[in-house]
Amino acid sequence: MTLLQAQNLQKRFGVIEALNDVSLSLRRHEILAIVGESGSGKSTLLSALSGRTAPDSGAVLYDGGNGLQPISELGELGLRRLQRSRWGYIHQDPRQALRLSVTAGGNIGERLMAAGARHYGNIRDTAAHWLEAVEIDPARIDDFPRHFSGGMMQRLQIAATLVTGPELVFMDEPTGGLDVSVQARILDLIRNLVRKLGLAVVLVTHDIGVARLLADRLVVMRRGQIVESGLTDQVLDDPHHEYTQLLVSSVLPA
Amino acid sequence: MIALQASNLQKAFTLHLQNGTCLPVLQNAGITARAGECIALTGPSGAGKSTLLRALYGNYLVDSGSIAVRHRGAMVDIAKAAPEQVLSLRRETLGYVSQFLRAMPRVSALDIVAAPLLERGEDQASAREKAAAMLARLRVSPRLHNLPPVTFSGGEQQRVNLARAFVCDWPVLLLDEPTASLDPANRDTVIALMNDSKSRGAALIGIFHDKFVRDAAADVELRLEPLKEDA
Repeated sequence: MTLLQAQNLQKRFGVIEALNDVSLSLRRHEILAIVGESGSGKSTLLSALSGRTAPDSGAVLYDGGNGLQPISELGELGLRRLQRSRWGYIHQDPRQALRLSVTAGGNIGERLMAAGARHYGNIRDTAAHWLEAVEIDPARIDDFPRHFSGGMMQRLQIAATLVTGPELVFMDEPTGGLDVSVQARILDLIRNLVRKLGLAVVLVTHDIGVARLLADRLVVMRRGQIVESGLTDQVLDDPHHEYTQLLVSSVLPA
Repeated sequence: MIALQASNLQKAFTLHLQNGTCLPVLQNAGITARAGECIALTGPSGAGKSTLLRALYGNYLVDSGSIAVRHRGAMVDIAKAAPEQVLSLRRETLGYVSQFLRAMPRVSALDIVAAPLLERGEDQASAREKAAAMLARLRVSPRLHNLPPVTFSGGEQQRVNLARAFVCDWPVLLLDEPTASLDPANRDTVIALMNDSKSRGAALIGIFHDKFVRDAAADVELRLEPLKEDA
């Protein structure tokens, strides 16, 4: 049932120990949040799990159907193929993922074509369908994302990621930098799509409200290490580690 | 038939931000709940009633002891169960009514109530139908069903919370002050719902400050006393 596993990951940037003996595993259909302050190593961990950064030592393993295999053995091409189809990655800033000079439909279609689709009519229909799924008027299929609001761009990135039907999606602060009202809409959208599609998700966030809303399970990172982990509501309502207690008690009640 | 049996529970809170102060709350606590029975947790404020209830749900982690819950025909120890097992227990076996509704932006009252049915695999239409019927039974006006309860009154929110709990047939249902902000008519409805659950074989464990509710629904009282500071 384990889909992704990290074993004793180690990563150093100069004198900074970004990952220090980090191990975790993710089950199919499970939503795992990684929380911690800036510099805790949570983004480095996401980067290592998704194959974007190679750890100094340790391994990331993925079960693509034949049991857990180290992703380092897939080779560059194999890894890229995985990242383009069965995995997805949602950036905090959609401009990092989208091509602003390509239409909304084109942005969605590109990922489909990278995954092997060729029939233009089908690609366009699928793109329109996904625009609708993320609550963008399909009539805007030929518009350029540079004319979209921040929230719309984020929704377009989500559509362009999910169009290939990935089973595992990495999310890096998907609602960071958005207005709260826009945040609520994106969160609601993610929550529904994730459940409907049965996705496994690794979500990095510094917002424990987001973690509570979306995640089944939580790991808390500090200075490159996991200091606490468990069921989301258990860790947040009964935090044991000093740092988790600080994190939970630092939130202003709404 | 025993539905839940907890024994030798120890729970202390270590407050790292208050110089590591240690607050012991449960010591050798235990409870046995049988199918068709309602247990009222009583005792003064600070005696650990809510802590015990939350521990039974796996929301608080006990330091030691066991909490065996009958789940899919076998006893599972929620104090030692893996997260996915706890989630499976909460999906099928263990219901929980908190004091306050955690309303989500943009999610309607109807969808909040239907959610536990959908998680059990029911189809949307029948889940919504049951949710609407339960909301109606708790006198939540139909014009509110499609609105997110963020702006509802305290009593309306609590009724949404109750509808969410009673829409499913839980084998074990935990209730934390379910009638605190209800008028007499709705309180009577909750008592009727609790008694319905008991007659279909559910075990109920709750904190009911309202003596009227205790007398009308509880079969057994379990009294907790605050621990001595140096215990």
